[in-house]
Amino acid sequence: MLGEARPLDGVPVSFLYLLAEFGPVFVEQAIFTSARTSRGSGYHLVAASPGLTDADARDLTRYGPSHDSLWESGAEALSVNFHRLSSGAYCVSQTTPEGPEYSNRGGARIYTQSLIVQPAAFARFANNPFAVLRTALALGVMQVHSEPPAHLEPVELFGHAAVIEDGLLSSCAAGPLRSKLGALIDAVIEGSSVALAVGGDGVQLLAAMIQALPVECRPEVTFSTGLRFSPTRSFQVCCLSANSLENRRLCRTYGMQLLEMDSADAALIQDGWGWYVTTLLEEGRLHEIIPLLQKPRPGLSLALLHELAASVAGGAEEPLWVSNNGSSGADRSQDLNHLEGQRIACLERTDAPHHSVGGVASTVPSCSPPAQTAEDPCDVLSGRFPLAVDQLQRLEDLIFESLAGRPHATDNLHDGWRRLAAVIDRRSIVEVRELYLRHTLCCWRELNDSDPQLSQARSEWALAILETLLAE
Amino acid sequence: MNKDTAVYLDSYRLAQFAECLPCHVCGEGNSHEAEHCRRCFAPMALTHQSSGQKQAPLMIAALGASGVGKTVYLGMLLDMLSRRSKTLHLLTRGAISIEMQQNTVFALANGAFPNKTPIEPDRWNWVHCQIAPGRRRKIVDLIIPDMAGESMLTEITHPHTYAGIRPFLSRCSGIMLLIDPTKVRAGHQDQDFFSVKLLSYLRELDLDLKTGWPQRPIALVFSKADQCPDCQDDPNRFAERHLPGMWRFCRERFQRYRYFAAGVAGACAYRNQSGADRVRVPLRVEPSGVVEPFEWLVNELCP
Repeated sequence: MLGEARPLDGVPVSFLYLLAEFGPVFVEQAIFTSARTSRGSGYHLVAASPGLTDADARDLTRYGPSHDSLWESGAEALSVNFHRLSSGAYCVSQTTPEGPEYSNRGGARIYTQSLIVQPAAFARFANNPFAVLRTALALGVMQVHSEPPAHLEPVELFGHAAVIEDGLLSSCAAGPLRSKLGALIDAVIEGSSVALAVGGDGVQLLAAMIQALPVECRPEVTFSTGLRFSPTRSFQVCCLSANSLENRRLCRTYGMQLLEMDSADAALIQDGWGWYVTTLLEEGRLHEIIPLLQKPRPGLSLALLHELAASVAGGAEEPLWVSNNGSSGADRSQDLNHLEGQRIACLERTDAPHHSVGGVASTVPSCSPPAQTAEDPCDVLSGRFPLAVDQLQRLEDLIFESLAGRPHATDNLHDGWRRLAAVIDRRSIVEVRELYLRHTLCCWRELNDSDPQLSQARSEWALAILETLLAE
Repeated sequence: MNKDTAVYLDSYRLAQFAECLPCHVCGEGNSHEAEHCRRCFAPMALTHQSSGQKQAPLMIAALGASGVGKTVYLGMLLDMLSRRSKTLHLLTRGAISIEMQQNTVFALANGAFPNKTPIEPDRWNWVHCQIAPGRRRKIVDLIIPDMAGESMLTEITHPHTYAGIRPFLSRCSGIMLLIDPTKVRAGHQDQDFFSVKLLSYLRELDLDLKTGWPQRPIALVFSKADQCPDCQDDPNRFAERHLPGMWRFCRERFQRYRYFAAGVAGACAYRNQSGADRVRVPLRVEPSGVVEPFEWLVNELCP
């Protein structure tokens, strides 16, 4: 890339590369606190930069912490928060107590500064919210205003962050933090909501967990390090206080998995990502993690990490991680929002696995295809096309996974249909196509009945499937 | 001889979870063991307490801008009504209904106002009570939440930010709209704007002239009347003079409304806390006009 420079509009390409890699990125910012402004009085979004959309402003208001939201008291209390926004951007925010409540009602004013980072800019910082915040603090853009300004400008962030930062993972290599790290990784991959009650080590553990994940998977984990738990703020990982009774009540009520420093955790999933990372840390093979995490895998998600660990630990070749065809980072974030909504909806469904009966774990039900019915194309066609049974079954699975919202399934569907069409004679294609169209509609209805919240998004996915099946 | 025994299947214990429990406030289905509604975050205890009744509880809202005194007013109101033995006697239902009264009374007894109400709906206080309206035999069940003022304003300006407010207000039978007369007299117009916005929002929820908001009772309460003697003498005149927008809007759009003046603290002052923090504190507790708006509202709802 830095070889022979070729002028481009008079600017050397090497310089453009450096500018793209190390030049500034502009991120929007917003302040949520208690103040009296022209927009209102009390806790509200007092200032925002012009690029903040209305949908994102609504999200920030919903996530905005108000009076007495920090579980630590004192002027040094701090919470670092990370969550996704409706537009596909990511929000990295810092919440601190700053001065008295403006209305003289006692108590500290809770002040939250939010940085709204687009996926491309987030990738510059290795998808690490702590790196974004650290850069912003170093550049002095996180300023506390005693009187919130009427207008805010987007802030410039320079530089980038390494995939692995020195010292953080190695600091968790010894002692009880290693096992907690593995348990946290497993819980996050399984889709559980996690309450982290490990005292002052919570932030360190959370930051280490972020670094122990491949870059592509990091944006999937939302967290808060110092806010009181509230169901209105759907963070996947929450650092809580040391109040054991209160923590157990929260976990019992909201189906969270509790990780405490002094309590024993469930065994790590064998050959899972948590086990693999902790094994490398235990054996002092930290240097093997770095290239593993640095390798780009555009189609990788949290749900596939155990598969990756199994293939890497066994020395096998990694599967082909197919990315979303032509998807931008915003599409990926939108997909993550769909999956997050599905995770929350699954956990909150009235017929979800119940926590207090039979020890049923509150995990997201896997997107497995429904049981075979007499109308399944595979059943109908396997007799006539015995050599194409694998392609038939694979196509059915891809259709169901696409309708369930798995991001890479739609792309694999085109390939699956092409492979099937290659082994079917042209006179039977019409019949096969009709069977799969019926199957798609059947799956669409079934999924809408079981989970109507995603019906609108599912309609779009169904249209994409129909487009694939009807293409020549 | 066979001795048959009845053994309950373990799975029968799960039968109740096959059916969802609709929230009394917003109607959303919830699990039987849920503590808060997953949509509006109202306590599911309200639903459990209401489920066995023939007549569903009425819902009343106490609304107002941030800092107008809703928590203090409601807490004092509940405390006063719970100590009555004759007319308009109140009995709370459920432990959650006593928390606001307890916090308010405790704070006032210690020379302070209660803490600011958080904007998170799961941290709001909800009251479920029974009112015995004096000589009438019929007991009225009421549900009254203490909602944060900024949440109301956010919902008005950005609908559906708080999923529970709209369905709750749609089902409300009446409201008490609190207004800060000290800010009004000081020339701040935000109280007028907030009131008109809120009343417009309510009216648009249900425009039916027979059953909608134009016909539902609205008590407009000047909450800090102890610091503003003008509104105590003639609240109606005070509203006409200082809140012309709201006064005209009520006259033209609503059929059943009335102005009141109420006060809890006889006088207030500022106290310096640690550092440079200044906190407003009550010098004494001297409730006046607290019960009258509520009494009028109950009489309007249950003639």
